[in-house]
Amino acid sequence: MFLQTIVNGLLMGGVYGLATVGFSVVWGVMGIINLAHGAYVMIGAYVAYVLNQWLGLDPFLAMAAAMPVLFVIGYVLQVTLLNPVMRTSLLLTLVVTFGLDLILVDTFVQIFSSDVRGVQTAYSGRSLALGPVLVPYVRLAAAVLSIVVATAAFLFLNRTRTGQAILATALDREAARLMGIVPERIYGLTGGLSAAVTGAAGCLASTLFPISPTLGLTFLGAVFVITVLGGIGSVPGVILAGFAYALVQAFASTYLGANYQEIVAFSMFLVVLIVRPQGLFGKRFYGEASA
Amino acid sequence: MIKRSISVAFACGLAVAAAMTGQATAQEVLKIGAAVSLSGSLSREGNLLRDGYELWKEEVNKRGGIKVGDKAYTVDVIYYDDESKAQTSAQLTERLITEDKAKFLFGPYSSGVATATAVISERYKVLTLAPMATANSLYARGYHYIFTQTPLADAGLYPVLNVAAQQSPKPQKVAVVGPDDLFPNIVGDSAVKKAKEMGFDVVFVAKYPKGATDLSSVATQLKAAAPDVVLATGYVQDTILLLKSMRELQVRPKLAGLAMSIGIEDFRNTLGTTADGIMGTDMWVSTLTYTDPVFKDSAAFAKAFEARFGRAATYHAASGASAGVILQMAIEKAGSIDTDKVRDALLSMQGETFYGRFDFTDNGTNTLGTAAVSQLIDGTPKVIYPPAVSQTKPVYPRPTL
Repeated sequence: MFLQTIVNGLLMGGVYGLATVGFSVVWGVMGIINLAHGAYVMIGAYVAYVLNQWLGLDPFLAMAAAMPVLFVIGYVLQVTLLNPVMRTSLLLTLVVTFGLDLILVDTFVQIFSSDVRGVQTAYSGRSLALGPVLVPYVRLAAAVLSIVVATAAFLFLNRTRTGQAILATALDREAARLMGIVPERIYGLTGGLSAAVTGAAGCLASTLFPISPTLGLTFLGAVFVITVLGGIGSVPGVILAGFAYALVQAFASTYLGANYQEIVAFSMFLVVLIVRPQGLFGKRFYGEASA
Repeated sequence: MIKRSISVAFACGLAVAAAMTGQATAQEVLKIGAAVSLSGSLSREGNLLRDGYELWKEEVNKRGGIKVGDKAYTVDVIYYDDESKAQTSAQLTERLITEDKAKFLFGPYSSGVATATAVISERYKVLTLAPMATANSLYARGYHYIFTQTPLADAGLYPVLNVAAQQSPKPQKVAVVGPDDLFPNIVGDSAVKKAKEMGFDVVFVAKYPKGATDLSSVATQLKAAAPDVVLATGYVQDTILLLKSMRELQVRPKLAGLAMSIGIEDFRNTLGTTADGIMGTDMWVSTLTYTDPVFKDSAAFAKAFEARFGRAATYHAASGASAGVILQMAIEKAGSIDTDKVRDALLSMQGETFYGRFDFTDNGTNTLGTAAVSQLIDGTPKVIYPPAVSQTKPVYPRPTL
């Protein structure tokens, strides 16, 4: 049971981490706490569901379609809605993104109804037996792909000119402007990129969880905790924190009882906030520069 | 009010029609009051319940009304909308009794609302059939005039335990899991108690948070406990998640039973063939084969309901219509519309409607009331319990998929 618990935690951690990357980057670069983030996970899951129903496409391959779709949604919403309010006040961005979340969730209720749906593949429910420990193929694939996508996002931010421009804008908006970077466009790109990564996480989630318009809601709590644990804006930090969060949850749930999983996870969150407010892996300057 | 005038007009029309055909029996009107939730948060269920009452009323009037000795009563049901508020429902109940002079009452939707209305009906001693008020607390107050034919909330998983007890060899180890929430807790706790009484060994009990993202830890613990029977008290979404996790971690109980219906479409669509062999409970399904003096049987009721209201019948509607049938049977047996005589008749009789059998005890509950158990067999829900109306034998142990 001990080994199985570790495996359970590790397999969930990747998806938690990937679902958080976009949230953390948006917060770090633009100082926006995007409450509509959960809706992006949900939309990604529905893209995977629809493609699976119509074309029989594998939900993991649906990432290739979900990422561009979510990029466009994220970019458009950022440029049209969030750019105008993000420099005004934190409260206003909270209100706007909260409203956005309601609109997105209700739109999906209108289109798909609140019925629960699921994606079935030939390999779902099958597991690899490693001695007494079972590793479900779907969860393994989701965990591996999470790391792949997160690594790609990390490399994009750190190794490409555009990525560097995003980080530069996060550090100092005015200096970036002097270097010929247009912050508004960079913010659009950041919004789009974050949504795309989150959409990928949604496709992975579609294979693990029942899909409904409120799917994102169950993630938002975890996303908050992991962002703070990992350090706002840090991609590797968030991935590591995702694993840490999932492991803590798995152990609390198995050994203390399922009802304790959130109590323990959120207590950990509070302790980190008190002891190390920049997060376990965070650098101090992210987020503060643009706030 | 519009509804009411329509009902009255309809009743008058019938009375005239009866007079014109020169029917020998004198036609009188029996007023029944119903304050139900037609708007507000309970409106979906409230409207279905109202439609059930209404279909019974139309059906019985079509047949010339309720026969009492040489008289026949045309039924008029007076509806008010309680807006899903218990206090409003209580006020409307008082109005139905004192101003509208309703002789009997049909109960509201939900135990919460009925708890408020029962105080009023009890004070005025008006017999109430409350098919959709099933909280145990309501029937533990020593009330005399409220009856429900539907099994009470705590009995949710009893029929599944009965199915388990009938298998041979009899399964030994039972686990009960579900979300930590009011209704699942009532169902789960009483299932644990009942299982022990029935000689099962309860090896694992778990409550998880209502909105839990991941239940693989519960599945891991289940695997370690290795139960023969897994009972789940959850809602659609978390039950799907639990069953998925159990499958991934190869938790394979011989019997898996849910405190909810397996007929729910999104449940079956989401799990696909992997849901085969799972058992679920239903207050009512259209495949039940009990016989009914008014509607013949469940299939006929379902057909009549759909023809009249343009949507599929649910257990809410079925419970409403069968409450009407039960009241009618009691009045006809009593040969009177006097409250206490009808109550005595209700307590002394045993009977059957399309919804199930009934035999009431003094506290207003039905000792023969039982939910049906259905099992998904090759993708179709089949009734497997109670034996009197089962369509097929249960598949036990559940095959490994």
